[in-house]
Amino acid sequence: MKSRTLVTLGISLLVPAAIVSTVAAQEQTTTTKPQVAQTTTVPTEAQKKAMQDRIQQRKDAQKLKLTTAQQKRLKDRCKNAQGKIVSEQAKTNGIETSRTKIYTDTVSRLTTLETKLAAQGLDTAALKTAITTLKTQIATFNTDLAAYKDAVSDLAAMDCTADPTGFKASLEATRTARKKVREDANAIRAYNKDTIKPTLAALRAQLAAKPAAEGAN
Amino acid sequence: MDDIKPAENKPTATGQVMDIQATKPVAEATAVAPEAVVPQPEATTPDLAEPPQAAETENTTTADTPVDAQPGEEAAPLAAEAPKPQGHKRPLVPIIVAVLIALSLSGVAVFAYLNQQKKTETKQTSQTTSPAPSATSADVDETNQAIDTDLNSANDDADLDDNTLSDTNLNL
Repeated sequence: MKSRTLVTLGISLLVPAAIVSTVAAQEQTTTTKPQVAQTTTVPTEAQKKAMQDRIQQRKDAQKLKLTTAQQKRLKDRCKNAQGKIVSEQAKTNGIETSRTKIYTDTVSRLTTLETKLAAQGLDTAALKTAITTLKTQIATFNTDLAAYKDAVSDLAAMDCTADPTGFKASLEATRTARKKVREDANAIRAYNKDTIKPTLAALRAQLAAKPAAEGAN
Repeated sequence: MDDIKPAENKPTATGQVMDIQATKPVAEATAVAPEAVVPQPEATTPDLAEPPQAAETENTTTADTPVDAQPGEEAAPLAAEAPKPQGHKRPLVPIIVAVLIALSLSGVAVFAYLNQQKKTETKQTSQTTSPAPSATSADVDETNQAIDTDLNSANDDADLDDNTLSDTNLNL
């Protein structure tokens, strides 16, 4: 009789515990947030090799030939320059974050508006095309920005005194990449002004005309 | 007969050593030597802590070695040795409390599960069945303005100017 009592007690406590734990586990799986991947700061051997390859490609592409005096000048001054380049590298990360958010929000607003207007029966083909083109421009910007970040990173991390020619080639490549990124950002701004705004204006006119037409009918 | 050796091979009053089998006829043993020390076999009487008792207690000691004991006679003493405690009550209160706790925990778990299921169902139905709200001219204007504000907040010409990486600025 005593053993039966103990068995009853044990079962009555274990069963709800199992149910509660199952429910809690299910809630945890549905509410887990995705973890943000963290980037490493210590360059690995593979990253160093990749950097050397890029520097060599730039040297081969630009075919720079520095005089002895130019090399000596660079060797003497490149370390101080790298200090400024490191601060510019941090600024570039901030540029990436801010632009990513701006462009993502822009696409999201336009997409939401297009969905609502299409549900009302308006012709949103032009807006759809504009959104697609905008997405392509943003992808180009992101690609060029990644190339610029690599160039700045190589410029800040390389041994400029050991390879002044490579430093000079990387500096020139960084300047070119930076200019390209600026042009991409300006292109997006111009596209908004020249294409997206007029498209939205046309849709606004359609909206204004629609209630009047429904009233007449 | 040597497997059970008496504890003491003390001679009896008659000068004879008594073995275990001699205990069988108890009455005869008592009659022969009432004051004699009855040797007790150690192997078969493990709970004999006391020295051998007098003839009066021989029955109880020999009862522990039920070689020839009667079943009926042994069952009664054994039953008497472990009497059930009178007035013992069943532990109903702890059982009831445990059952109530179990039921409440189960109820809470089921309620939480159903609540969660309800939430996921309403979320799905709202996404699939609820119609998209209609847009007005104000919505179009608001979108236009928000995009302009966002794009103008980023000064690309200043953030990505050429002067930052110039030889002059880097002192090269």
